[in-house]
Amino acid sequence: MFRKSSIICCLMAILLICSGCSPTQQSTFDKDMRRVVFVSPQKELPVWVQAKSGFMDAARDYGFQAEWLGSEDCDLDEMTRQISIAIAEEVDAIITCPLTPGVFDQVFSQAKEKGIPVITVAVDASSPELRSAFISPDYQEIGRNQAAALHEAVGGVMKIGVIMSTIDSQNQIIQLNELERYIQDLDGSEIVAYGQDFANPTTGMYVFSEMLEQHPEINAVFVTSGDAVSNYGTILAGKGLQDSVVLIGMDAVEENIQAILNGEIYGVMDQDYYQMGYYSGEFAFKILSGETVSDVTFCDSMLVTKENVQQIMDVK
Amino acid sequence: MKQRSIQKQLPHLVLATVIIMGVFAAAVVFGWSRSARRYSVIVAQSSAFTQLSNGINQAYVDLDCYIQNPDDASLEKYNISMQSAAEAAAEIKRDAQVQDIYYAIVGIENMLSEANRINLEIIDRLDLNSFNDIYSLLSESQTLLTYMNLRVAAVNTLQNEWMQQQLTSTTEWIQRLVFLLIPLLILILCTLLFFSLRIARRIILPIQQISAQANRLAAGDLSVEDIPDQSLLEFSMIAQSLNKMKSELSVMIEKIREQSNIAARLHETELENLRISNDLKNTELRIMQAQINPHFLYNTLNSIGRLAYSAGDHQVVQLIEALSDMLRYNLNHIERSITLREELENLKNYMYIQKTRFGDKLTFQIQTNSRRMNLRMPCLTLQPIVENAIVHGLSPYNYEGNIEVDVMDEDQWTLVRIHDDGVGMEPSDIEKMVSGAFEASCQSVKHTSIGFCNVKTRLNSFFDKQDCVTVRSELGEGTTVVLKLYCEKGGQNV
Repeated sequence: MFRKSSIICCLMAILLICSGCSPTQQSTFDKDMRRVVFVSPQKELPVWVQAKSGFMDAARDYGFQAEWLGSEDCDLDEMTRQISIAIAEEVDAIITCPLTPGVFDQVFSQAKEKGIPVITVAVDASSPELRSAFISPDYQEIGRNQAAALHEAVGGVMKIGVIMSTIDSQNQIIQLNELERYIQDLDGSEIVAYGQDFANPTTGMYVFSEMLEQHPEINAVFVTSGDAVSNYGTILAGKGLQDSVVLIGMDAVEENIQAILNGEIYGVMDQDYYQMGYYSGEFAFKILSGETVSDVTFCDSMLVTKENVQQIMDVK
Repeated sequence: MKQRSIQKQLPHLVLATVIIMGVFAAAVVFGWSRSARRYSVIVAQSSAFTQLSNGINQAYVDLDCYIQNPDDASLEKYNISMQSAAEAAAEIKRDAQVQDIYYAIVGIENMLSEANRINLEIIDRLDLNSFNDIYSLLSESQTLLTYMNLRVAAVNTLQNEWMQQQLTSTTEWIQRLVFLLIPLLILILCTLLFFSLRIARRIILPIQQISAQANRLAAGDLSVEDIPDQSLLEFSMIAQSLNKMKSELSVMIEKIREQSNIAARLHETELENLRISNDLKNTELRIMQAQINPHFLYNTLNSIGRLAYSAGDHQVVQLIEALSDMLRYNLNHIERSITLREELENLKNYMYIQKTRFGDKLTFQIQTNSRRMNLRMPCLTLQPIVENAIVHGLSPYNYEGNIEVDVMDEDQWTLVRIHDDGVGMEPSDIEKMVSGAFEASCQSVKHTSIGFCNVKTRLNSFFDKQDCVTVRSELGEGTTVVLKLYCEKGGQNV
């Protein structure tokens, strides 16, 4: 009797104690970690969300406090202000994508004065002196491959329309330069129109639609931004031009992949943003730890078309 | 059966109850205190954020006041505000449970420290005549204020999300606790009830069994079965004691009953002996009465006999001899046993006298086929029976009839059958005669002769048997009395 009662008492005590132990959050994290801030141009954009994943994974692997900041739609003032705040907060390292490098010179200089290392991603600072490392896809290679793929898909003389986020976006200028270099040797091929979508899909649809209206000879579209690519495919399909106009855009995000599968666009140049985010965090930590890192590091990129889109879908 | 003691079981149940309820109460108190602590932390954090924000902005208000009117009071207020903000930041940092909030506060602390450094420099370099020296510092400080407010607002958003999450999780946890504790409480109560009822049943059932058994024992019913062995030690002891008591009581009562029977038999024997003794005394008395002067009568009869012999009347002589022999027999043997032969001789004398009296109306036959003529028997047993036959059986026929006496041997006894062809008796009269009631109602017999009942009692007593005399009779068919004389009386009788 007593033994049974004792067992029942113990079981009940365990149950009750378990019930009494709520999942109270205790501050079990390390309070002496380095603080690294990533100021992204579009913090909610899918490609930058991929970069965020890489950055956070690096923070977890290397043990630093990662803070993901940035603007919603490539607002350079917002980005520089966030960097200034980070400097005032005396963070240990800053990672950013200076879309227009000159705009960031002042804050990069302030950071340098404070001894805060700056790592640039995708777009480099105006001067290598202002940053500690640069991690990016190789936009020369991307532009070259994108132009060659476009030419191969058109199969002849290309009348090209170019759409960029902004015409002063450095990495996109590099891509554009490669396109221009590529078509120099092609008889009859030329860029017939330029447009800016300001990383805004609605704006991009208007710009692209106008471009096609004004230049019906366009048979190839070279897009260096990734924000409105799927919308461009919608416009091509709407105009019945998806078979006669070859469009290669940027970034293998879900909407763009769907547009490829639908046959609305030919393909996209995929940049490994996750890798870029991870490397940036890793390099920041290594710099803070006194290690030497590469000044410039290129991430992987590839052309995604209907032929290999399934492979990308499996990976992502 | 494994036996346990109530003395142990009850404290165990109480102990188990106390432990369970104690643990339950501890869990509830523990749970509620945790909730209270969590609410307290949430409220404290919220309050600290407000204090931080207010402290920062109040410090800048105080700084403006000081710049416009530099006095110690404003400076003191500024310092207090900055101190308040710094303390709030430290408190938030200390209690921060979210990593992002902690490190954001680290940044705000850094900004606050830098802003304070700049502000103190502004205060130090303040010259009311020229603001140019401090303008850039003021601008930088204002920028920091803006940044701090932005960051506090951003962190406050994080904090609010965390608080919301904490409140939600705490509320959910309380609900879970309640949902867990209520069934648990019911389970505990049911378990306790179960064990209480079990123990109560283990106590009540034996009590009922034992009390029922005790009631039956108290009512004198010793045939009840033994109380079965009990699982509880105390009841087992009581049951064993009762069973033992019942068993000993049975033995004792059996002994008392046997002793009572013995005493009753003894008493009966004593009564019988007393009655026999009484009968003997009565007999002696009657004999004594009859022997008012037996020697005188005897001597007188001898004198009459000599006169009759001298006169030649031989019949009278024989009659007197017979009477004198009877008298001598009665006088000499009344208190002793005699032989069957002597008793038959005495009977013949009596028959001769009666024959002389009644003449040919009355006939006697004695058939003796016994070789046990020396068989010892009580004196005066045959003559009273024959006398009864004459007085009661033949007197209604004016003493006309026949009386037969047959003596015959059987294996273990010798039968003496006395038969008369008189009026006979009804069964009720036989019963009266055997029991002595008949003699009691017949006063003449009572005072002059030895009654049938007397004969029967003496014979039974002599042979220590109860069947020495039997009577058969029917109205108009006469009466037959059979005396059974046992051969053995300690092997000395034959």
